[in-house]
Amino acid sequence: MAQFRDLAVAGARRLATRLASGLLVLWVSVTLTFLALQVVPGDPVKIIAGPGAVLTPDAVAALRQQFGLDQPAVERYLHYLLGLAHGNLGMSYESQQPVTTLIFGQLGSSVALTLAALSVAWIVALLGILLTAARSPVWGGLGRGFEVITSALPDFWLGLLLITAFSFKLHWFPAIGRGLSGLILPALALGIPLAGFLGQITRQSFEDAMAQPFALSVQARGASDLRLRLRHALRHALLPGIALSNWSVGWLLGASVAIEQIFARRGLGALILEAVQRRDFPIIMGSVVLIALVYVLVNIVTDGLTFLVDRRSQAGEARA
Amino acid sequence: MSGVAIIEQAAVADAALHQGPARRGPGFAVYASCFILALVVLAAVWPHVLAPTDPYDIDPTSAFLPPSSAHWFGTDQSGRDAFSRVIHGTRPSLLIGLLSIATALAVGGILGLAAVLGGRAVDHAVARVIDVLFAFPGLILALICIAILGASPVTLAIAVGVGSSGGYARIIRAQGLIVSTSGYVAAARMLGHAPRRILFLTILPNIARPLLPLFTLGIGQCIVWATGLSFLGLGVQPPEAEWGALLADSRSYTALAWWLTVFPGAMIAVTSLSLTILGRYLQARFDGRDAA
Repeated sequence: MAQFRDLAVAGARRLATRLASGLLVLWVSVTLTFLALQVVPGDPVKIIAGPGAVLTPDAVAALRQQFGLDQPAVERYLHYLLGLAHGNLGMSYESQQPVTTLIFGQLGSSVALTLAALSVAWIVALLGILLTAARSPVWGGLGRGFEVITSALPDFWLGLLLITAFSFKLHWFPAIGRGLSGLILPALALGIPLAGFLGQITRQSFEDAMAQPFALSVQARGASDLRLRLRHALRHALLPGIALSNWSVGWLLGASVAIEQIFARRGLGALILEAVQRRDFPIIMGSVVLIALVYVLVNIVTDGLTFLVDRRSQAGEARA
Repeated sequence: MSGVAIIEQAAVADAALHQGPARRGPGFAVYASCFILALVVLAAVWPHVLAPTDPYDIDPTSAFLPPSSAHWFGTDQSGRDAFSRVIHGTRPSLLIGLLSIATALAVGGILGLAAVLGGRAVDHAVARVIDVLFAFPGLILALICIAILGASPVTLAIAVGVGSSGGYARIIRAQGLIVSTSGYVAAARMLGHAPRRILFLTILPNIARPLLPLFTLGIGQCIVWATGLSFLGLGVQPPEAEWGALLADSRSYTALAWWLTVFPGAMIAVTSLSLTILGRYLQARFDGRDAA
């Protein structure tokens, strides 16, 4: 019993450290973005009013007041931080809707695409590893070659190729799809290059694990090759890939900007791209906040996964 | 007991067998990559040698011709020769990639060296900035930079450079801390060398050396990102011949003319693959020498 309590205390302490460092990342990134947006040339009122709009001085003053632009930068900064603490990210210049509403509206589509792409990436990477790693040099070379080639593929080009082949030529999948059938091609375009990255990292640690004395002793006990690979070697090999989860999710978000355009999907990538094109700064600030929060969340999930897979870290935490 | 010892011995021997020879020379893939990169550089410097046809020469009567012996990569909606456009697109794509990696190294170098040379307080502050640069997805960071700087080929290159600077800053800081506390820097100080001489002749070369493979890998990454952003209309604009802009231009005709999508993208993929293979090889060599 005491052991479990120690484990819980250690886990809580680790969670608190993660949260604290995450808050720091959030604060620094918001501050840096705010500073950078202060030096942007051009009047935000022009962006709010839209191109070619002619406004009376009164209307300009009213817009300034509505978006808090009449106040000095320091005051706006403190106001933003205060709003952030209450979950208020301000109003979009373009649509004049709350940024949080706009972001939450796109969240579902992006989460679905991210999870689908992560599944594709891990399934392809693990299949490649289980079939080709630590076998004959020919198989190893094939697996390695596949990983290097897929990781160098530009994801947006892969998306264009998939849509040309499977939507326009073969008509297997819709080019603009809602629901599950519309998710398959974009998930492949994002997942296959990611599988190349994950595969390269996992292969190295898998081959190291298969060369360890324990692999031979498992074989000597009479366990099958598949059991050795699945139950024993894979457990060791997964850790570096899991440690990269944060990088993977960030990479997927960045790549989804182009993929969402190609497959005419809505999502966070599309929202960020529109905000950049229209210089809708409140949405950009909101995306920065969101990414920092995702970073913290994924870090915590990664910690949890590492804890589940790595028995050493469990033993270490209980002792600490 | 002895049974286990024998098994372990056998495993160690087995592991040694699996690892193969410690150092390998460049294989076929490395030579092929060098050959392709030489062609890419040739296409960037003297595009007319490889593609004598004018990439902007319009001929509406021969629009949308599939690849043939007269037009290797086919023709586009205005009858322009797609092969010529892809070859002439090499120069802007490569230049933007090189400017990006130069920006990344400059930003990374300034942050990393400030952390190493600036004392404790500066190091703490810079380390937080590096954390944020590292926490943010590079492509999103590049997009934010474009929102601030505006969209043009030069700002695109700077944005991609800033977007990928986090990793370099981190590596330069770590390497700098190792070098500046090393025995040979202490020896140089004791010999009474001027601080500037130690910085330029002792510290900087030793920080720079491991960066060469990363530089090679980084150009490939930057070209992919920059062409991707051009594809989104945030860099080079059609009708300019640049790989990303060519892909953007082809989007309206994907169902009609597959060759307009396949070839510019294949150039990006082959260039990025060659740089990856070469970078990996250099990395393995440098690691080997560091370990020896």
